[in-house]
Parts: sequence; C-alpha cells; structure tokens
Amino acid sequence: MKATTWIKIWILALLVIPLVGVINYVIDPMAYNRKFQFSLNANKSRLDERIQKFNLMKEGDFECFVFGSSRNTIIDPRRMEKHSGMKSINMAFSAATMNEIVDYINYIIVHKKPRLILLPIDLFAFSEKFQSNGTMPKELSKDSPDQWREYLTLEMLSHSLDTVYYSLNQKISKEQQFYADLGMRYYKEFLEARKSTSTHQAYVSKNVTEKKPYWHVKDFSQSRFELFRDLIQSSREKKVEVKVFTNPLTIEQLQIRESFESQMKLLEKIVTEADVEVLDFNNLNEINRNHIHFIDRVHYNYEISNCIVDRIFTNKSSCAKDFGAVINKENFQSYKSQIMGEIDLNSSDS
Amino acid sequence: MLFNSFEFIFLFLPICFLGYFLLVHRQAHRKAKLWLALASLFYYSWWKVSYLPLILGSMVFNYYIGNRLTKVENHNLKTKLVLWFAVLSNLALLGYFKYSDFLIENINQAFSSSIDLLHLALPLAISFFTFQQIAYIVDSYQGETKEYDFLNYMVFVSFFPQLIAGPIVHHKEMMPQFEDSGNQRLKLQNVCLGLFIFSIGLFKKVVIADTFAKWATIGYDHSVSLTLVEAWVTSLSYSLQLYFDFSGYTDMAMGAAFLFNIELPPNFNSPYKATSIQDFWRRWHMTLSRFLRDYIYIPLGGNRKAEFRTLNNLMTTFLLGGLWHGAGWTFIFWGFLHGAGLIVHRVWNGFGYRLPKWIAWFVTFQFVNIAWVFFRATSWSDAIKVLKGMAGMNGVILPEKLAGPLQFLGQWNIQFSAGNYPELMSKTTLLLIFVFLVVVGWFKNSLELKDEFQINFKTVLFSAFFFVVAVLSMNRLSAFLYFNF
Repeated sequence: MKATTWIKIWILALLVIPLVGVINYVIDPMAYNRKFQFSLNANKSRLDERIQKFNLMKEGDFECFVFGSSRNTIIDPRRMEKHSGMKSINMAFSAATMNEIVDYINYIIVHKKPRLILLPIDLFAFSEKFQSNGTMPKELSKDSPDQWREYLTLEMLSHSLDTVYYSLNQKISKEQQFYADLGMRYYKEFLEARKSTSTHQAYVSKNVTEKKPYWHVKDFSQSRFELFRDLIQSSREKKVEVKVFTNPLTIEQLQIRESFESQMKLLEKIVTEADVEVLDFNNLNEINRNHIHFIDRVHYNYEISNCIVDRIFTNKSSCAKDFGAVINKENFQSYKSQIMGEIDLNSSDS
Repeated sequence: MLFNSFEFIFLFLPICFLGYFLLVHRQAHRKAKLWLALASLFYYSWWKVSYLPLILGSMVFNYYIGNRLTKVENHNLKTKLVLWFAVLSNLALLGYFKYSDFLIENINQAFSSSIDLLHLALPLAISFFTFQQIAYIVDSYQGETKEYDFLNYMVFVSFFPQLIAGPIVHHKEMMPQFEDSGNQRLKLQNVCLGLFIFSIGLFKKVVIADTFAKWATIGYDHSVSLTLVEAWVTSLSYSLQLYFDFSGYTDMAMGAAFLFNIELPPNFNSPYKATSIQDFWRRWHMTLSRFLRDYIYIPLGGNRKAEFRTLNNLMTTFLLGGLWHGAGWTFIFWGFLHGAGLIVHRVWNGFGYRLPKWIAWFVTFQFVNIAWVFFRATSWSDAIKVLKGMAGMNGVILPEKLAGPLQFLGQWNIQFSAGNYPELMSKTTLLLIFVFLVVVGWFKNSLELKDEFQINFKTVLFSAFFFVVAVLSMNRLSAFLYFNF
C-alpha cells in the first residue's frame, strides 16, 4: 500500500465523526434543538429526567413547584393545583442533590414567578459523598462543554440509538403518555400489579418485604446544608413560600441507626439554624410500618404521594391519622427523644 | 490548548502542518522554520499570553550565555562565574514561580509568622524548558555544543510537541535534526507514522486514562474513609490513570513531531514491566531520569566515590526529583521513597541476591503503586486515608455478588455489600483494572509498535479506529497530569 492511500483511507474514516454529529442532531435524544420530530425519535424516554422536567417547566407559567428525588416523582401536580389554586408542576428527578435543586430553584426565581415550593428532605441530597450522575440541562450546566461538541460524542450516539430502538419497539402507551405529560414517573410493573389485591400483595412481598434495607449514605455535609439554608433565606426575601417535608420510608430503612441519627442531626440543623418548620413523615406512623404503601424499600406509592400533598395543604391526613408530625425549633428536642425511644424499641423488637 | 482538544486536533495542528510544508514546498526553508517557531509560541501563548515574554526572555538569555561560553576554549574563574550565574538565574526563575508559596508556608509554620502567600500561577512548561536550557548552558561550558543559529535554538526550546510536558529534549539529539535540510521535506511515511502514534496516544488519554481518573478522584477526593477493596481500586486506578495519561501524552507528542520529520527521544517504555526500581527509572520519564543522572547525580560524584557517598548521591538526586514534580512535602516524600528504594536495590544487589523475575516484578509494581499514593494525595491525611484502607484498617467489604460462594468469610468480620462508593466496587471497575493491568504488563508498547510500523490496511484501520473513537469520547476537556509539573 502506498503512503498516500494510507492517508486517504485515514482521512476518509474521519467522516464517521460528522456522521455521528448529524445522527445525533437529527435524532436529538436530549431534546436540545427539537428541529426534527418523527417516528424514529418519538420515544425519548431515555432522556434524563432533569432535562425532561426542565423542558416541561419552560413551556408553562407555573407558580407552584415540587422538587425532590425519585421518591417525589410520583406526586401528582393536579392535586397540588387543586389545593393551592396555582398552576403546578412536578420538578423532582432521580438522585437529586441539594446543589442541583438549588440551581433549578435559582433559575425559576429568575425566569418564572414562583409563589410556592414544596421541598422534600432526603439525607443523601445533603451528602458530599453523593455525586449526581445525571445530565443537567444546558441552561443550568456549569461545566458542560459547548453543545455542538456534545453532538460529536459516542455517549450521545448511544442515547440516539436507544431513542430509535425505543421509538421502534416500545410505543408509548396512553397511560405512560398520561404520566409523562404530568411529569410523573410511570412505574409500569407496579401499576399493573396493583390492579388486583393478590398481585399487589405479591409485588410488595417481592419488592419490599423480601429486600434488605439499603441506604449507602450516612452523613451530610455542612456546605450542602448551607446551600439549603441560603435558599430558604433568599426565597423568603423574594416572597416565595417554601414548605419543607421528609419522605416517608419503611421502618426497616429507618432502623439503620447511623443513617437515622444523621437524618435527625440534619433535621435539627434545618429547624434551628435555617429556622424552618418541617413536616416529618418518618414519625414511625402507620405508613412507615406497613409495606403495602411502598413500591420498594425507599419509594412510597402513588396513594401515599396524594396523602402527603393533602397533609401539607390541609393539615389533615387522608390515609393515616398519625401520618406526619410538624417539627420546629421549639419542639424538636422532645420530638427527637420520643422518636429515638420508639426507634430503639423497634430495633430491639426486630 | 490541550492535545486532546478540538482546537488543537482540527485547527492548530493541521494549519501548522500545512503552513510549514507549503513554505517548504516554495523552498522558503528559513521561513518554514520561523513559521514553526511562531506557531509554537502561539501555542504557548494560547494558555496565557502574559507569560510569553518569560519564555522569550529565557530563550534569549540562555542562547546568549550558551553561545558566549561555547566560544571560550580555556575556562577561568570568570567563565565559571558566568556559568553559575546562568544556572542560578534559571533556578531562581523556576523557584520564584514554583516554590515561593511552599517556602513561605514552611517559614510561616516554623516561625509562626504570617507572611502572605504570593499565589502565583505556575507558567506552563517552566519546569521543562528550564531544565532543557540548563543542560544547554552546562554543555556549552563543557565545550559539548557548537555555535547554533538562534532560529534553530528557538525551535529547539519551543517546538510545540515537547514544549509543555516533555520529553526533556537534549540539544545534541534535537539540533542536528532541526539543522538537517533533509528533514525539511514532506515525508509521507513519517506522516503515516505520526498519525498512527498520535491516534494511539489520544485513545490512551481520552478513553483509558480519563476513565480511571473518575475512580481515582472518588477515592482520593470524595471519600471519607475507604475499605480494603475500595482503597486498592483507588490506588490502582490512579496508577493506571497516570500511566495512560503520561504515555498517551508522550505518544501524542512523538506523533505530532513525526509529522515534521522530528523524532523525539523515547520517554516511556512500559515502566510497569520493570523488575526493579532501577529498571523502573530506566522506563518511566526516561528523559527526566537522564537529566537527573547527567546534571545532578554524576556531578555529585555518582558512583565514583565511596559506597556511602554513592547512596547519599542517589537519595539527594531523588529528593530533588520529587521536588521537581511539585512544591509539597508529599512530593518530596515520594522522591525519598524512590531514593530509598534505589538504595535498598543497590545494597541487595551488592549482596548478590536475585529474586525470581515474577516476584521482582510484583514487589516493584506494588512499591511504585504505594509510592504513587503520596504523589497523588493532596495532603498527608488523604495519603494516610488511602494507605489505611489498603491495609484493611477500615474493614473489609467485598462485592455483594460474592456473598454466596464466600459467605464463610463472614466469621472474620468480612462484609458483603455495595460499599460506601458503589462505583469503586462495581464489576466493570474491577474488570477494567484487571484488563489494563494485563495490558500494561504484557502488551507491546508504542515504541515497539512504532518500530514495527508498516504502511498497510491493518495499521490504517487500527489507527483510524482509535482516533475516531477517541475524538468521539472527548466529552470533557481534561488536562494532562504532567502539565502541572
């Protein structure tokens, strides 16, 4: 082979690079340009929730927002709307960290007219150890390269291929589309199992009761707490009301002493240093104690999400009398001793 | 402008290459060389234009002194003083930018003073071009140089493939190449070879090194404490990251230089195949080892004096080698460890002991791997955290999937879970570490591939595949580790 032929083949092979760029641009799996909408890219279910939610949020004049992690992705914005009278949106996304949430809220404060924010507390969101692996939207991303460069990546090509595959092979069902339009997560298997009592119980037994508790974060960082505290402060200054609550977990999950103690320390800082009231749904209530209310060890189900919204807005619980306890700097210590006593009792029982 | 950036690969390098050979084609050889020098200075300025006068001033100063010293046949006290003045000026410049804050911090700590730190940005490549030029003026004094043309000298110092992170080139091997008019013509064989080596280097850096970087960062920078497996994954990830980062950079430098018919000296020759520390330093950053040997170890007396003095010279050389890498006690300690390793090796050899080859390899690799902990850690506490984990002092957690067959280990307090940092315990991580340890220990390196290079379908497909995959993996810009030195 001649050297000139070698070089020509080498240069010819480089055409793969713009080809990848064109495929990614046209399929647009991250919904960056939205120039081409056709059957091959109809199902963008592989798209990161962070971007999905962001795109959804940009399209409406929302005033009421719920943030949080995957646990909160099943909160129905229509229920929030019913109670608040404000146009509402679910902005929760998987593995949300406090720094990401703060970035979103800062964005909506500038670009929207928020009046009310529901902000759940997850311990991992406050831990420095827990780094998000999600993709933030361009508008919020601090260290993202230029967008054109992202089109020229194998990572996006893999998303494009996924998009084409899912568009061809998995038509979005009406039910799935319904949840997607609401910005809610669609737990297909769970929703199907729930259609009868026996399948529901079997599902819960397999996915909740038989699973070991799992929570790999056992501390929180001061810097992330400060982000939260500053957020509360700036929201007050901007006259945006923030309602803070915790996500209910199963009793077994709560009995991981190290995590629970850290969670209590975090709550103590929140009510005393950030001076904010918290609605704690981990007060060892009926919901915590019964696996039937969960999809898995750390995710409660759709009915519970409705109860949470009802409890936040009406001070009344629609599913269990003892569901949720209001804690603040005045009552925190007594609440803590009571709950720690009960959790100890449960630990020794189990 | 990093080698692994779109700007370098698709703009700077092609424009520089085409401009150079266009001028060569028009027989404008001096203009071509000037183009190369100016392009190299542009490349340097891209990072921070305010430091351009620094490298220009350094080149003019050293060229002038070197040429003056070359002309003197019989040296006297005056020329000796000139030599010392020049060497100390170079070291002062390096010391000012690189070591001022380190010195102030230590003074503050020792005397409880509160002198403000200078917070100077380290000029890119200063450690490299300073050493390169110290070698030039010392050799000029010793009559080992001739009177070079300034343009050639400028290209020698600033030639962009080696400017930022080496190899630390020597005038004796570079100047003849720049002066050789035969090198000023387009050689397609060299273009193919250059693209071949450059592609391998880009792949090593972007695809392999940056993958291991994620795990090393979690372990060193994000962890509070590490269990046994997590700590070993952390340390091995960094050892592999550094290996592929540095060898990737070296390949890219070598490949880019080949495009201009310049062959850079070998700098990296499968160091993790070494069977002794001495062998390691003959394979790792070979041009730095050569500099330390020729301009520190031998002038100190090398091995020509008594045994104790030889050992002392070894230690001094490596303490300075550690300090060259960074202004910090962990770097000095890393240099100390390698100095101590070389001393032990020398004494061991003196007794005539020989280890079986595979044990020697294992001991050497583990020593190097453990010493890198001090090289990577940003503080003593980080280093101790990783070493404690490696010693099993923070407990042992094995991947959950092993719980079945290895359940009996539970009696020794060994647990099974995803650990605190699941990324460090994942099957993919463990598998990739194993695979690339095999690659670095048993596969051919770039120097061997270069020597065997032939123009055929196999090499073009191999090279194009590596290049395309690497370019399509350049999601984030990540600097080469040796840019910091």
